[in-house]
Amino acid sequence: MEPMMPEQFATAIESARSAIGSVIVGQRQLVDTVLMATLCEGHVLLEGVPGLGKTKLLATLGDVLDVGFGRIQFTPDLMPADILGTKILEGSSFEFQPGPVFANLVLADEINRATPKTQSALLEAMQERRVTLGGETHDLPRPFMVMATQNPIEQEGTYPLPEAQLDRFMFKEIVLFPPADDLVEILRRTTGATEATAESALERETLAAMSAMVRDLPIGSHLLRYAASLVEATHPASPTAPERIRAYVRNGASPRGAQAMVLGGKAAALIDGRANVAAEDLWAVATRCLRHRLVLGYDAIADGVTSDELIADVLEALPTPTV
Amino acid sequence: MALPESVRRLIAAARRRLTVMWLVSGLVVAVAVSGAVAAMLLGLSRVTVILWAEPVAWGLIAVAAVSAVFVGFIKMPSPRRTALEIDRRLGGFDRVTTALELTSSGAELSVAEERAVRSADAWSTARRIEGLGGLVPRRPLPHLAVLTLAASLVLSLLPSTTDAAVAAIRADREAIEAEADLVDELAQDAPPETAEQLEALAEELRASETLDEALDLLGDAREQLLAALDPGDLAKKTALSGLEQSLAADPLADGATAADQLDALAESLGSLSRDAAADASAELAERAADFAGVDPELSAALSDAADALRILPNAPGARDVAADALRRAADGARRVAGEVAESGARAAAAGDLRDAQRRLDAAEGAGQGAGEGAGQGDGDGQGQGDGDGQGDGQGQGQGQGQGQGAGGGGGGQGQGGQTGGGTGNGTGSGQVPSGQGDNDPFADPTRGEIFDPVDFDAGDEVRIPIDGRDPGEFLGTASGTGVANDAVVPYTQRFTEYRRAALESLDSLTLSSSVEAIVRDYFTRLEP
Repeated sequence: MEPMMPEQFATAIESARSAIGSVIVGQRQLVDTVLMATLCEGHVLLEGVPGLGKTKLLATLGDVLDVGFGRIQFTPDLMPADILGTKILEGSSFEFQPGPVFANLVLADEINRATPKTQSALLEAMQERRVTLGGETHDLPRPFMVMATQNPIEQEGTYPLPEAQLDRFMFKEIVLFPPADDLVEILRRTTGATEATAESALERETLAAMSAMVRDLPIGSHLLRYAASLVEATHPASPTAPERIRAYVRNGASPRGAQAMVLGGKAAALIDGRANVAAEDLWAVATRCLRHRLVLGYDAIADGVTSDELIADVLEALPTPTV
Repeated sequence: MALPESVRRLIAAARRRLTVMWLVSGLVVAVAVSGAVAAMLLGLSRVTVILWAEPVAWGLIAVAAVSAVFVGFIKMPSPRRTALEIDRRLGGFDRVTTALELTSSGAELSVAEERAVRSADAWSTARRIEGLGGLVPRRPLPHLAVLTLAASLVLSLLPSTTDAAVAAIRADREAIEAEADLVDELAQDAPPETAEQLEALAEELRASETLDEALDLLGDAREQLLAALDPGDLAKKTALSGLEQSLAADPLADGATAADQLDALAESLGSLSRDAAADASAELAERAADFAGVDPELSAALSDAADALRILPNAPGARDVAADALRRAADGARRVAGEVAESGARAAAAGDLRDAQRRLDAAEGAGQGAGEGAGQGDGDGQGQGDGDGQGDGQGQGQGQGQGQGAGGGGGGQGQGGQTGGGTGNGTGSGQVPSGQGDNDPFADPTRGEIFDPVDFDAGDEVRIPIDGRDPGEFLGTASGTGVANDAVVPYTQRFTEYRRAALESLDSLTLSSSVEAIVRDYFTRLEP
């Protein structure tokens, strides 16, 4: 396959955007997030109240990308075997029956409705991209991405995701209620005689090449230091931490947060058609990379301080990279 | 892959522009801040006397400006810093910084990295460095800098009510500094101990804040010098002079100092004739008597030498004893000469310090528009008045004093009470008290304090009545009749006491320099 230029990369992403946009109204940032995660082979957690199109978006993404799609509806009685698979007796031996996690794009719908035990079943799969069952290890197909949705934890019948599992999500996006114009368009599209469908826009080989291109994209050492300093500043014990970080944060972001920022920044630069990463790319992905990695204290909850506000403090305290 | 030429040129041009921008910006900020501080300081000095306000204010501005320029040059941005500034200010999206880093590593670049460098090349070609920002920082900083400078200038140039006070204080400082220089000069010519005192005084004077403080320092130093004066220095000097002259008259001596002559006499003992030895012995015995009450050690050495010389013709073995005694006497003479010189230097320094006090007093009086006047009366006898008053720089005053007078015989000599008026130039008038006396020292208690040798016959006891009571303190026995009587108390001793009392009186009186000079000249002429 011919090496792709950044401009061609941006064009390909634009076509994928258009394909998704034929089904999903608005939600530009949300769409970019899942596309960036796809390019980086990262996992995404979408949080929002029911009915905002989270599941629809991810299902549409499965249609647009020429990859295997699996969907798991998390419920309180869902068992780990329902996700990973199980061994069943066939003839005289037990054969492994893969679960729905064995897909390129796994939609974990309403993941916080399952018990922590079941949620944890995804841990190994998300990080190691393989499943161990009955002493046997089974590799997951590549690319492998988990796109999870969750309802806000204040909803009844939900279980907060373990912090270790949260850290495995590259991005977390908050799905907001659509503006009035978008809502009208949603109504028009979904209440007619025909339902909108998305065409495939990115072939598997193209997606693989684009993912490799993301990894190859050069980034200046000053930006690597900048990403590290941003993550460091989320720790309350850090000398560069802003005042509110010291007051409200119990634990700062992990190194995975910096990895996600750099990788997401590379994807953002290519989506913008540029041949190198810029500080603007890190700023663009910082919030979605770090918001679920900050462990807030009780004071933050009591004062109504959100992770997004605290990350904004960090970006304000460290506005530009230095050399 | 090397850094593309367009990127290199862009970085070089941007680096120059950034240097100038930061230099100008730093200069403007430095001048604005220092100018504001200087203006406040100068403003404060308009209502309060702050001697150092102007030099400090302008020095602050100058130092701030020079520092800003200096820092601007040494803080010239590095190429990487410049590249980052280009990316930030011209919207380079870190193209230039990344390209500079990739090409400076020297390693072979990957396809993606080469693509990034080419991207920077294409982007840099169309860039103009004017977008980095203006050379002069945006308002209001430049306006603030100009405003503070103008305010400082105006506050420095416009006259204020504190100018006169500042000028007066500066004049005081200059006067003190001048006196300190004079004291330093005195120290250069003074013996070591006195020189050390004077040098310390000069330092203290320079550190003194006010004229009063300087005057106190001078007064204290003068008192110390006077206290260190040897009361017997004049007697020593007289005795030493007598020793020197008597040896000079001796044919064996060579006319050098007394110590040198004594040494020479010790060396020439072998060739000394019997008569010369006898003469020398007699002279030395007399000089030993002179030194008896002045320096017992030297007196003893001279006496030993005289004894040895007396028996020398008959006992050649006494030569060594005589030589040893003469050398001891020479050492003693040197020591006494040194003491006399040291004491003389102290007295001279005390007098010079007194003059310095007067000059500073005059400076203080001129500065305050008030002065002191002194008057002196001069009649048939002698009069002295003490006065103080107020006046302008020349000074006018009136003085009043009280005193006692005594007259003896047909003539009269008085010193004491007069009422006088005088002007600043030292002229005045006085009234001379008249006195009467008879030839009986015990008839008038006021006359009894004067020893008149004419009144005594040989063997008479000479006494001074105390509080008029007879017979009074015994001073001695008259040696002859009338003018043939020798002084009961040696003149040199009495003269020293008188002179010391006179000089101390000068300290406690307010007299003009010219009058003080007269008193000093008087005692100088009387000095034996």
